[in-house]
Amino acid sequence: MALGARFPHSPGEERFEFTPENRAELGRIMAKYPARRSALIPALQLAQKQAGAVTSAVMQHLAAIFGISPMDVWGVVSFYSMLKTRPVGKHHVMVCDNLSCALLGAGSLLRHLEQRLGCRAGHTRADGKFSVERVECLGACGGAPCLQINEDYFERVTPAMADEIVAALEKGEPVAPVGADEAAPPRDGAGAAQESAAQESAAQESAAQEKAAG
Amino acid sequence: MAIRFEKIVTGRFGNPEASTLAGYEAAGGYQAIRKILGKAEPKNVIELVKASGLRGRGGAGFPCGLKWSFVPQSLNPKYLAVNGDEGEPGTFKDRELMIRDPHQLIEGIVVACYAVGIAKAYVYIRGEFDAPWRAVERALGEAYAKGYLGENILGSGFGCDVYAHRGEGKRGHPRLKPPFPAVVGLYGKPTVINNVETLSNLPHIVNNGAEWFAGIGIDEKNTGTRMYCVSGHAARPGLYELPLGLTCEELIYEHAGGMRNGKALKAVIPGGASAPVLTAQEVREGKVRMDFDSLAKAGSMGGSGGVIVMDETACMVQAAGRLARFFEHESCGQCSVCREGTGWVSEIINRVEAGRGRADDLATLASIDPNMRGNTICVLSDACAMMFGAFLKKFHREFEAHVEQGRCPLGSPYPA
Repeated sequence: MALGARFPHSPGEERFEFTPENRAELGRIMAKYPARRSALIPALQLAQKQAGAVTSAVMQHLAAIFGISPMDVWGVVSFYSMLKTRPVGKHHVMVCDNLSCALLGAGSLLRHLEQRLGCRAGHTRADGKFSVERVECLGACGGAPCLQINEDYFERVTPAMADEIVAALEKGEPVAPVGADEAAPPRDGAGAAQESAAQESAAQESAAQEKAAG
Repeated sequence: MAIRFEKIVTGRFGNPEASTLAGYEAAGGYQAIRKILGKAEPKNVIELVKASGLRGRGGAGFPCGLKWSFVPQSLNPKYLAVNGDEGEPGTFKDRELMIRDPHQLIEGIVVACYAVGIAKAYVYIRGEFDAPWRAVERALGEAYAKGYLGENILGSGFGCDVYAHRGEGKRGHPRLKPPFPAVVGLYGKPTVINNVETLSNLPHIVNNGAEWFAGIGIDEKNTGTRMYCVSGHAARPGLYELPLGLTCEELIYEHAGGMRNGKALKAVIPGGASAPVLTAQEVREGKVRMDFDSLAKAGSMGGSGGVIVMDETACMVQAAGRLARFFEHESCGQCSVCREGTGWVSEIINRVEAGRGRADDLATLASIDPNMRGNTICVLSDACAMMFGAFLKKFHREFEAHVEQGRCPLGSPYPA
């Protein structure tokens, strides 16, 4: 949460309005919930995608749509770290450094990325292509260290892997998300559990048979 | 005591088709609602779930059937809020359940709605979760098209609607309880709140019976399996669905491959960031079991199933500092005790870690702890206190050494 964050006044800023497609999409979202306001966060996400950031003009437009005050919208915007009042890079790189990721090298991964991208955490590169942010738990701790680039997750990220991803993005090539399964030697959690399950049930069966026989 | 090994909610994880409607049906899906809708009395479904012993997999471990029975039958509308936030560091199971087996969740939701008499369910998925959102939205579309959702499901006369949801469009501010959500919840209406994993168990309980479910696990109060989310220094971090009641050592050494690089275990956080840390000695000598009641008896909790494993190279002050920063970030700011407390705790612990600890810092931390418990609207403050209180008590010597030496004796192994 951003305590004490200030309303991003920007005098002279251009008006914001949803494109007809986004306005229609918002209408569909609003119709799903008993209270229209439940569509506010999806609306903010749509607006952020369209305008690049949740500017004061965005908040005023949404306030008018939802029939609430711009400060009320700002209250919501300032609460959620995924909502940005200033544009982030075309590729927004979020590095988790909560405990599970920190234990497996999130700190050095973050420093590596800062150097590779020439961009400090919390900043956007001058060419607008990349921005880096240190974030709290992404909920992918089994694939630590993990990062999120725009909507995609990348797990078990090594510095070499990070370089490959960045190189591809710099060339404008598409990059597929990498789950923990693909990234590293198979996490044989599932396999191991299955094996021991089979052993266990075999043991139980033979015990039961012995009992029955005895 | 021999514990039966059986995978329940992750049983179809190896089958990539299971995330589609056709794949789910082919693997035995949507049989549970065929069995009960319009055939079983809703109150008997509640009794079935009570008899199964199913407890909430989100954090508190509250008995699911009992929670359902608190909702006043006469008040309408009532809602089911499905908690897919997965906000507790160390936890990564609900995301997988939503992506890999979304129809299992949807079928579980229909079972819950039928039992409690709910016509609308909202699956809360946090804003950062794009893939789970898309998976659930796609599955909902498929389920509607096939008549598993909407009006008159399978000709039973019962209908319910399910929506993916990003919240009420407000700041995330907890409300004072009572009234409890069972009476005044989502949109001010009576609401059942169940975790994704809890609901995903329901089709299996309906299909196989309460007795079957209760037969898995260690005793009648700790039944079924949990998705243990192993992270940190285990050799094979990942998801392990195992019966309640296996020991922490079995989980780490027999399932998660032991410790990385053969290092010695130092500490385990057994149930997500809020669960008090256990020392290696407690784990070993106490033979701590990973079910709800055994962990409570050991002074910790099963929480959300997030098991963070730390080896001898880990610095406990640094670990506590990292988690304290999380609590500070997540504090909503309504209660001064939490808003200020989490900030102070984070500042002090991270100062000690950085070698700038003051002589009275540890005493200050110890004095903050009781004030942060039981004095706030929600339990985030309590959770923070449980977290750092346990680190401070169990690794006090390590904290002292930081202050005495003016540096991290372990060399801050994981600098930010």
